[in-house]
Amino acid sequence: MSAIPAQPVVKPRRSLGEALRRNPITLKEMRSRMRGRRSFAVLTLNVFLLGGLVSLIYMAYAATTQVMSSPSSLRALGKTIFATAVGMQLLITCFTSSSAAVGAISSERERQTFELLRTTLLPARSLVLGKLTAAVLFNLLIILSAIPIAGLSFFFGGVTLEEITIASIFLIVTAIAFSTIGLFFSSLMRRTSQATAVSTVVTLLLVFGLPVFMLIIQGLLSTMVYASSQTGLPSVEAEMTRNFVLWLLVSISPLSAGVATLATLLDSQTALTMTWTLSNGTSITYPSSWITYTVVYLLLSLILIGLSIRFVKRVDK
Amino acid sequence: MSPIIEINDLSKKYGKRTAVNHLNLSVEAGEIFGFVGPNGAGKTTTLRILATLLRANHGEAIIAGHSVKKSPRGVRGAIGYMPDSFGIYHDMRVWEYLDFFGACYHLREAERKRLVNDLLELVDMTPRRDDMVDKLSRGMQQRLGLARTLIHDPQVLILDEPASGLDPRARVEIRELLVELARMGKTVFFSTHILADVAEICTRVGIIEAGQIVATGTLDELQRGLATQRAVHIGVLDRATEAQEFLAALPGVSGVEVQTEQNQQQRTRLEVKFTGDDAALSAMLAALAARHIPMVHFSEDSQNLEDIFMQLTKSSLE
Repeated sequence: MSAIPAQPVVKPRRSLGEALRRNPITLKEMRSRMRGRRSFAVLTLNVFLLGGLVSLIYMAYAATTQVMSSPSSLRALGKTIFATAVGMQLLITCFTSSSAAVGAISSERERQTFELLRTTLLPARSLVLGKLTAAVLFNLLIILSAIPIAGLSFFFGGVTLEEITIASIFLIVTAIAFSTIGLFFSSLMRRTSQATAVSTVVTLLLVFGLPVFMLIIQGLLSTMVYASSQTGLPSVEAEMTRNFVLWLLVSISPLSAGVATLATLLDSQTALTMTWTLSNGTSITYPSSWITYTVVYLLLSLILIGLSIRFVKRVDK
Repeated sequence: MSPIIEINDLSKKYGKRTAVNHLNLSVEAGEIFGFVGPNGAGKTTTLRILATLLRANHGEAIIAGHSVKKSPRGVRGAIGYMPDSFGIYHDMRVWEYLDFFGACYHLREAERKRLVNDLLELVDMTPRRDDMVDKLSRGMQQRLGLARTLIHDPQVLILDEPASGLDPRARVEIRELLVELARMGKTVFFSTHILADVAEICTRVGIIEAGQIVATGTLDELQRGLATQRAVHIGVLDRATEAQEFLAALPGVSGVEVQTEQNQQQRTRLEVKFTGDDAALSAMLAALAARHIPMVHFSEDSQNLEDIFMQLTKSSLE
């Protein structure tokens, strides 16, 4: 056995914030991302898309001079611009987030730099969190670039601080969750092309597939609930179960959760809860969709981060 | 000197195929150890196990006092690993590449700045510090890769084919760098196909075939160990027949042939087929001298590393 003293391996103690800020992976990724033309192109495209959409809405409203002169209509225009900008940004964020992170680990494998990193003292946790932070920061930059467009709604009024806060949380959670989904498949699969394909399918299913599935389930459950009734009125238990399933399905897709939250706010309900009235007049209250969405997607993110670290840590057998 | 790398009974299987088969090896601190073998002999697998990238099925490897199984982090702090392919970040400058890996070893920013400058100077790349990494030639990339392995001042360098694919000048430069690193106190453990490099710079050589070490030692030791029959040439002024009869009767001599040199001097030379060590050879010469046979020349045919390699790896080549 060797008696040669080993090099001391010093593991510095840092807070989470400092660790993320000092993570060499984050710095490298951000530097690389901002160096290429791609980021500039994505940011420009995002602003043009949102700008075009908001211009169309404005022109449609402006065509009606009567509407433009009424204060309540102007507030409605403000709300419409805001909801459209946030909704569009939400869809864009789902796809840019997963694509920003989908090559994070697999491309290191393809470039043959993964092994170099694994033989350094950088823990697998830092590698995964560094990649995730860079992807999320890039998506937050895209979201920030949309603020001047969404901010046009403030000229017309109608948008509350509550709505701005909910929209911000919704977008940030979406950026984190979909980046994590991309990162997870990147750590699981060896090739970026495979990871991109699977990640895109999963994103499509979550964004568009779940609402469609929810509509099918709604039809089926409603038929079952009424079919089981002999009096013409469904049982409270059956109706509550159906509503719970629908509420859950609505809340786990970004698109439907966003629409449901908007509907709840327009319906003048509170931002924290949504109330459904059953056929017999009983009211049941659930947490608002955006809260459920936030909790579910942050939990999912934590699980996927843990799994990604495991896959990165794995030594070849 | 105590071994800085110690491999005990190491085995690795991929399915039914055995890549490394109960391999034993030790490397002393400060050595330049050449790990030679035909394709598929198990060189890269062994190096990857040492670099903690691959888990062995059996056995143990200790580097600088750390077990690759139980203390991979300790091993990573003690080694600098360079795989056979250079990992490129297309969008990085030369200094950024070194700085990034320095940060991955938790080196402080000020320390990294100094180290990057020192290492670029060591590998003679200071004028290229702001160039993009992917624009460098293969030789430059290998030198940069070597600089990367040194960023955390490791005790041991594990290099997989560091000179493969390089032009002759770049090969010489890498060779010189490895010698310089050994002079700086680093232990260099590298695999290669280029036997000239091994013969030129290695203090010891290990030859691997079918996952097993078939020979280790200095080049001289390998030559001596392998020479079952030595060919000795003795030049005499005259009395060649007498010398031939005398030598043929000595123990260990299997044959003596009288030859005449094809040059102006037309000297007579005896080619002696001899089995024995240096002491026996010296005794043979002393006996000839004692008989006052006028000797004017003595030499021995030596095997080069290529001959040794071919002989030891014969089975895999067949």
